[in-house]
Amino acid sequence: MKPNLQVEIGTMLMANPVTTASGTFGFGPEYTPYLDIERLGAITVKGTTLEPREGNPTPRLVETPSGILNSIGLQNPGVDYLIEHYAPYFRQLKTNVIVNIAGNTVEEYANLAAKLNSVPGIAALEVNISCPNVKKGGLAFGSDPVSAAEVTKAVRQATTLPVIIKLSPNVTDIAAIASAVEEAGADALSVINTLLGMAIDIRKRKPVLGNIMGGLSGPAVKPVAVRAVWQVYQRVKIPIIGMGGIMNAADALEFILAGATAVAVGTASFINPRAAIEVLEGIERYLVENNIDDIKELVGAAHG
Amino acid sequence: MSKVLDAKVLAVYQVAPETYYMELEAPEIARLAVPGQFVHVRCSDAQDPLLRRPLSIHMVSRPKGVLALLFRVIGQGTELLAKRQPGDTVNLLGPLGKGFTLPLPGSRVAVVAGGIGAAPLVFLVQELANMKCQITVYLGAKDKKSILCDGQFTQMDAEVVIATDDGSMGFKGNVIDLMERHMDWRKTAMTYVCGPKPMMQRVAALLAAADVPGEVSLEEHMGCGVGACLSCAVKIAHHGQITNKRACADGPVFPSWQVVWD
Repeated sequence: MKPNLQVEIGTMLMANPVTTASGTFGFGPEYTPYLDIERLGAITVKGTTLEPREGNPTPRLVETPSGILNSIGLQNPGVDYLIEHYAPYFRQLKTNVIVNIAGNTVEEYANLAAKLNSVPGIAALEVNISCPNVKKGGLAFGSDPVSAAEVTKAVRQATTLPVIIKLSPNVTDIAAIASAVEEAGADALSVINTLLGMAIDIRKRKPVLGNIMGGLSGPAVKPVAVRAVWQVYQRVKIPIIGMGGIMNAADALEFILAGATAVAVGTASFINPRAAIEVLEGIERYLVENNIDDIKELVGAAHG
Repeated sequence: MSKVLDAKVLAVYQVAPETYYMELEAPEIARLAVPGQFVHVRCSDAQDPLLRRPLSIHMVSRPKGVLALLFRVIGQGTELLAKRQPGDTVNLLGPLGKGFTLPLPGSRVAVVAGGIGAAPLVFLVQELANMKCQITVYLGAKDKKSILCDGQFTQMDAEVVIATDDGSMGFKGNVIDLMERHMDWRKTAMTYVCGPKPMMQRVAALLAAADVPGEVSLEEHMGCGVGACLSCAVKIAHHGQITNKRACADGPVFPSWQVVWD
């Protein structure tokens, strides 16, 4: 018998627990030559702001041991463009589309949520309060429980879509922030965004990235991400989408066992464009091999 | 449509200081590729180095299903790639990107190559020669040992003029000085350029001043290679507006007059 892979993130039903991480998968069509994106439980698309953004200066990417540092700076065409040009495509997809939103102020987050609320084709909002690559907003909201809750509340009031708050690992107590946003009405949490880092070119004696600092992702951050999911799971009741360095099904299963209901594949897609599907297939195989009927039996199972 | 596949290494050898030639069995990519496109190459199966390396397609033999790369060893990834042996496999994603715009058959064209920038231009000259174009190649490098592909260009009936910084071969000076003396490129339907950024910038300025159309192949740090991550942003001016384009998916080839050089 085929195991049940279906999970729920708020009111969003996912046929399986695998999605993509925002900023690593474009708007979807970029990867359609390589995998059937409709087989994924959801796709999470590029971070969207009210106004179009040009992003940060180049170089925007540098490779580090088993990871990458990026400082894209939320380059995107703006929410109106997304509604006009991408939402019709999202509507045709037979999978959920999660739109990641980022604002400079609480009002901007609320405006974005309101604009996207009644757009057909959008299944949920992921609220980016943790981007390390933009000056205003971003991490400033995500590193303080009070302002994190404030953004969550404003978005919650502006939309009926499931609200997923994306948390930063660049804080002392991630569980405290998780708890604050749960109380403020979040339906789910994305754990984690990238870790703030930097690299220096010793030949030029200058920082490598145009924006000096960037967000670290890839296998290098996985232990930090698994720990964060573990801690957050102990504190909240809402579902967690685990992410951070998932390269294969074994990595994804670690997150699920730590407490993630769903997982997002990010940097891995750059190396293997089929990574998200391979993660899904590997999870399914693991369930069959271990006679597990339902993925939910594994969620948080490592906590005993 | 591009593919992800394991390609068998048929040959790999050093052709110049820190420069390697690699031949791979990849019929699908060889069949689909056009000059100016690239492949995203996995240099190791391990997680460090993590990312693929974008390498331009140097040559293809469609009948043999063979793809050739010419690359410089500049870091950990390319160093590992250079150590691959015949019989090994290399994972490729490609062909990727938009290639050069081909002129009308029989046109007069110029090709300007600096250092390893010659790599994608051999495939281009292959195609231009098939179209019976009259081709002049301006080939520059720091010294005689570093001049790449001159024999291949000559074999394809292109006129080759060489510049070396130290004068050990051809004209003493850089390829821009050479172009300033050799005026034939002013009469071309198109000039194709690939090389170090400052060189491409100066050639683009020459072309603009002479009102000659040109295309440049740009290089930027890439993540995904397929247009999703927006790492490889390049500033392109179009109809008076400057916007970020993706070197991987909107390029790597762009009209020389549209590039906003920093």
